[in-house]
Amino acid sequence: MADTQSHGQAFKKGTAELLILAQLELRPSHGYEIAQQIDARSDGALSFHVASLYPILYRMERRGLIVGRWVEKAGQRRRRYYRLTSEGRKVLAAQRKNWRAFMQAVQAASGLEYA
Amino acid sequence: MRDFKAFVREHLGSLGLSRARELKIVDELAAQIEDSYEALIASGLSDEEAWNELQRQIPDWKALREDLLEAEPVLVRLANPEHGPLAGETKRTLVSRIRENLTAGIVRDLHASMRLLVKDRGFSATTILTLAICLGANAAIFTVVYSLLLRPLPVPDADRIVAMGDVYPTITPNDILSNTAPSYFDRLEAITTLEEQAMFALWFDTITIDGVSEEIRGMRATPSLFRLLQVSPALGRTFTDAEGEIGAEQKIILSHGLWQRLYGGDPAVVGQQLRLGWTGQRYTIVGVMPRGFSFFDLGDDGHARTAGDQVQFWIPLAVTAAQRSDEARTRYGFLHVGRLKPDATVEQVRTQIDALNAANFERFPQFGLAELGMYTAVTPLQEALTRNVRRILYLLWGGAGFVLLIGAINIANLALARSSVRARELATRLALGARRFQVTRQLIIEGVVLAGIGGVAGVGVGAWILQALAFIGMENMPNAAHVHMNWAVIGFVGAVSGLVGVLIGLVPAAAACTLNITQILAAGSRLGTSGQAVRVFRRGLVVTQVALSVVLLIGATLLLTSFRNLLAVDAGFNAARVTTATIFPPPSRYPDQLAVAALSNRILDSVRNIPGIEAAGITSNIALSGRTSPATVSAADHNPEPDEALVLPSVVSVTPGYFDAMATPLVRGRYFADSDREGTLPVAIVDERLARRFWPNEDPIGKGVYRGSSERYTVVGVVRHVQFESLAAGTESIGTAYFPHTQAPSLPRLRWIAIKTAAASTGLVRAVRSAVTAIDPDLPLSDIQTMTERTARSLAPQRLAMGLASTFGVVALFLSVLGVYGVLAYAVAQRTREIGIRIALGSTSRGIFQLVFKEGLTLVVGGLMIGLLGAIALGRALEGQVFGVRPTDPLVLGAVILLTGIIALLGCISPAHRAMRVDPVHALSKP
Repeated sequence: MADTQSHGQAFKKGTAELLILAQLELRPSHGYEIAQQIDARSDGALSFHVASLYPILYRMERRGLIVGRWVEKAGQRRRRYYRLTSEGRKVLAAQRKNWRAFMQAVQAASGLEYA
Repeated sequence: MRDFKAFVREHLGSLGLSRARELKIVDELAAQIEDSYEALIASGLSDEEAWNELQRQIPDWKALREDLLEAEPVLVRLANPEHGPLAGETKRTLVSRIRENLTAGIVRDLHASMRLLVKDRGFSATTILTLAICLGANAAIFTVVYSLLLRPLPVPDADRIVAMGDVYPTITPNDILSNTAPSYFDRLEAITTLEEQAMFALWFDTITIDGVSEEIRGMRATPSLFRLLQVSPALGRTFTDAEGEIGAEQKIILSHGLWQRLYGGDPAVVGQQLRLGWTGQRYTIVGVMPRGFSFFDLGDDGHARTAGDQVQFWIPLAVTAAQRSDEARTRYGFLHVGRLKPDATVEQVRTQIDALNAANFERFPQFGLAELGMYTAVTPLQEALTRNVRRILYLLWGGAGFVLLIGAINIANLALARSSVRARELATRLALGARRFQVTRQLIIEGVVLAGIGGVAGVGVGAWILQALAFIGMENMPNAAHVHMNWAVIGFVGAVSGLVGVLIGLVPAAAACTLNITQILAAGSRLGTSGQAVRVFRRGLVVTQVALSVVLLIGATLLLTSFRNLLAVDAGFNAARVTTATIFPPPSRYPDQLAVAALSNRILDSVRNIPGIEAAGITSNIALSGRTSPATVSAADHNPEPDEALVLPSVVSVTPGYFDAMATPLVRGRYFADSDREGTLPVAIVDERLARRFWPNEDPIGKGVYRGSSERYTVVGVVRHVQFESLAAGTESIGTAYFPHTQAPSLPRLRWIAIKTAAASTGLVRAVRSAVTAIDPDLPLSDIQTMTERTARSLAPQRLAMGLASTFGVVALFLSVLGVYGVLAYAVAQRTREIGIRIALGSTSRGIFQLVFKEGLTLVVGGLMIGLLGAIALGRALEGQVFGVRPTDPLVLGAVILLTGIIALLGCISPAHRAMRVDPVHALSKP
């Protein structure tokens, strides 16, 4: 059981990373914005609850995929904006390819299974 | 206005991180929650409703806290003082969770590895087999190296003990352990860098157990020896200094083993009297040494081999006035050891002794020691005891290392090839979010599991090799009795296999991390680790393998040639059907040479009457005994040049019949006869070397020799040179002078009896023993060996080296051919499409064959060239270890290169052949 669970967690972490990277590719965003965008772009199919993104953001920041910076705009609250690093851009490209291949493989495999 | 920071702080609690870090996290979370809150309000919810919705969105603060913590670097999470102490609970959960994760992961990986091992039988079996052979070879050689060279002698701080010995480069270049009593007393005064010195001599006596007289080894030692060794007796005491004086020396200390055998371990033995049979002396037992104590267990030939060679008793060495006198300055026969002062070095001792020697050369010019180039060797004791085998054992160890390297290269290549198959699995796992370190960990665990099994098998193979070594004569090696596996060996094999395991795992892990995952997932098994870098790397590995094999094989061939040369050495005797034994007439009953001579004659008369005995004789030194007995001999009517060196050939006394028994060829004149006895003309026999030295181009028969200042002995015969030390060491020997046992009172005592039988007969030994017992029941006949056995024993180190090196060489060659084959076969499999296209475009089978074969040829030739360079370097190391062949012998080098080349190219044929038969239709239609 622990096996499945940990794979599930790994799956989610892997997914979240890709999604965050994809959002930040468009423009630097703060956490809330990222969650909103993912929600919107997936038509609400993928939603991360408010706080659960943060551990992932911190981890990605530590790995140098993204960089966060506090921004205080006039008339707005102080927010931390994240942007993609060049390393993050590379990883995003690689992950996109991996996922595309993986999805194809899963499709092919499951298609065979149910044929 | 709600306080969102307070809300977050309240629910999150302390994370145990630095204040600044926690503040930042709280700040950001609060900002986001506020954004959510505002969005909810904007959608029309009341403050209360929005607040509840927020609570609902974050149901599990504890999980969030853990996630946040997990995102922090491990080192920060664990007590980094800069970040302040972790809250107790947080730290505990953190640590225990990390541990849980790790152990659960490792256990899971172990399970997975075992499954994979079984699933991938071909790979597992090949890897385990290769490792078992390579690690087995290493376990065996390490056992020998550790037991003989590395394991400290069983006395405290044994590495501080040095042995001293006077070396005469032209006479006894290999003897580094001989000393005189006067030099010991000189050094006691002059050498201040030694905190303790002791002199001793090997001794023997007999005991009678159950009516059978038995020879036991012993030692006469100055009382200081036990202080020097820093060993306390298990029972009683060691000798007092007073007991080292003449008249007080009738004391004895027993070994643990002898105490058990004679007294059944009775503790009341101290103070009792023990009478030893050979000397007939009574000794008072003062102590018993502890079990396992051993020091300087050397046999007759300076080599300890069996338990029987171990020193079993000690008596005080009391030096007589005559032994101390200046007259005795060339009377060798004592061993001398010292213990270095805490800050002293061997070099300092050497310097002090050199100065002492220089002074003595001035004081005693009459001995001509300076002219002989005499110097004193100072050697760490363990090195001195193992010097004959040290170099060759280290070389063999290196050889075993080569074999391991070659095997590891094969495994790495195999793992690389397999990693292309596993690439899809790894890529999928990485895509699914598995972390690199998890994947790497699993690969390493797989490697370690494989190597672990290989290591266990290797220990088994090593034990088997050790037994096989015993079969080819390792029991004849010095100290072979001490060679056995122990924890050091297991630890060594464990460490090596662990290392190999990590390497096996790292290779595919490194490959996986540079993978282009998409390609692998999309493209099927055609692709994989076929990148240019990997290909070059694999080829480099194969070239290395071939090169290492060449070096090993050249070393093995040199040792083999050397061994063959040794077997072909004319040692001056014919070992066939000759049985030898030692026989010691006790001085208590046979006080002088004449009594011994009479006894010898009676024994020989009686033995010669036994049916089936062709010849029998007794001698003071026998061929291949490992001993030399140098003494001054000069030619009569010879006026020495002023700076002419003294000549000290071996001096041996023999009975008539000895040369017949040994079949030592007579070159001129005659052997000794029964008529050569006291009162008749004193006669001598010289060997060819001494004859050439004394009377070049002259007939030696009728010439005269003197032994020291003795009367003139007339040379009546010239015999072939006999090798006394060993087959290999005899080349520089000056020669030997033989004298009849009846004609010189101060000759070395008779010691060996040699009997030539008409047919190989086992019953004869018993007949000889009973013949001897009939004459003197207390006369032990020991160390019974055929001359063939003596020869084998003398050749044991060379035989061992040759056997091991040949085995290593063959294994290395086999593994290398496998390596060449593997890489080519893999290349062909990868290039099936390309080859298919070539064939489709009109390439002939011949062309395809050449294409692949040429690639193999490049690898092999590259390896051969590098190997040749390595072999030339090896030649330097082998200098002095091979006999009758130069380490750079072009014939040996050429033959090995040719043979290795041919065999390695055989490994290319099968893949090239397979390439030739590629079906272009099939190859091109493959996805």
